[in-house]
Amino acid sequence: MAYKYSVKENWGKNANGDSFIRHEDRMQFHIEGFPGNVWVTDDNVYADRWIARHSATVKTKSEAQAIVDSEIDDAQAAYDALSEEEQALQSRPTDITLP
Amino acid sequence: MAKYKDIGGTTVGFRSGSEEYTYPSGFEGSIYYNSGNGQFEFVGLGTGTWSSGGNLNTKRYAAGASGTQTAGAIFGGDADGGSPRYGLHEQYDGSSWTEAADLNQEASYTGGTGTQTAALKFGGYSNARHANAETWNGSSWTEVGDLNTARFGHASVGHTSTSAFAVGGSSAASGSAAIVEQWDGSSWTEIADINSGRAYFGGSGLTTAGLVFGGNPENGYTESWNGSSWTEVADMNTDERYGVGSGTQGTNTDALGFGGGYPTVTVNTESWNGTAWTELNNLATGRRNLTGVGSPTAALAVGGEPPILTATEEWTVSHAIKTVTTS
Repeated sequence: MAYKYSVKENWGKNANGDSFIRHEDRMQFHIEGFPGNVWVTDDNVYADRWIARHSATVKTKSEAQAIVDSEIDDAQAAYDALSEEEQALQSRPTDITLP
Repeated sequence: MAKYKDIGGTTVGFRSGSEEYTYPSGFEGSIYYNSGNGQFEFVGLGTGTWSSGGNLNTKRYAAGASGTQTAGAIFGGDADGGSPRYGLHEQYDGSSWTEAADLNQEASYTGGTGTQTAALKFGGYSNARHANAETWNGSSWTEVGDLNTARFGHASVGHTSTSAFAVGGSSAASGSAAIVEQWDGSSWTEIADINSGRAYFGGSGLTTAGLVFGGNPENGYTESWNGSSWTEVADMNTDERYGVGSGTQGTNTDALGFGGGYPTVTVNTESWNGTAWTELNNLATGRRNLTGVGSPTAALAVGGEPPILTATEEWTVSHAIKTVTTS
């Protein structure tokens, strides 16, 4: 399966009721979000339209993976700085390998 | 001679084809003649998908919740592991979140039932597990009778602020409890335990027809409440369901579970029909300790971690209009 990688901040839903990811998007192509506002989509015309609609920045897989790794490193460092009691209430963020 | 219509037939409707059917429309499964294209058509079964909702004002995980997809609320939670936890309270109108009056007692991993204007918050963690319960009347929170057993990470069952269960959770220094308490609008009373003690799990339904599922220890165990006892029923398909999300507005035969998982988070969404779990369309962003709001056909997935999120996703069931073909 070929994927495309892009970066764009998720702005959620606007006052007009338009969504960052619409229902029809979910019916037309696979999309999954990762730390660092990295989005992995199918490599098809519908995903290309979504990327264009948001002016998302297209990345290579290795570039996208580096962004995710940096976010996870920061989250792991924040977790490691917590007290033992606080750590017991959470789980240490684990490394993520993009598809 | 009897006509087929007299035996078991039905009148076929006549429509223009421009109608929209928002689930549940009451037209599910109905057949009609579409004057717009000259075809016989029917309103097919709904398919649920997640789309982006409005982002929270404050990122968080492990918050309590009440209400529906278009009139929802979340309260409490945590964003940085610091103490005390949040007392923050936000309300959703179907597109954006607005801050409302804070809880009196900050809490993460707290429980919640009720509506946006009449909610119940119970238990949670803030420097220590606590038994505090509060009700929201649309303008302020008022402390009410405490739980008998202080806890956090428990599941919530109930549709209103006057009838709810606090199920399981972490009630000791280690391990997970099986204790269930029932709220009758004025006090908490212990009832029958669940079979498998656990924490960080999902709950749905009524105090006469409830359901709990997933959680820690890592399993997809599901238990159904029939008004007098808990019975183990079929497991979820994805058993890594630590911190699974669920709105409470279902029943013990109709529920939705989404996200969760440790150490890897899942995007999986599953629907319960009273007998089995079925995998449906995934969340866009995997997360655990997210907050679920609403019903199995109109839900919100709010916040969660890691990393800690502001993102909201809306679960909506839509219809496919299908053409009847003959040969």
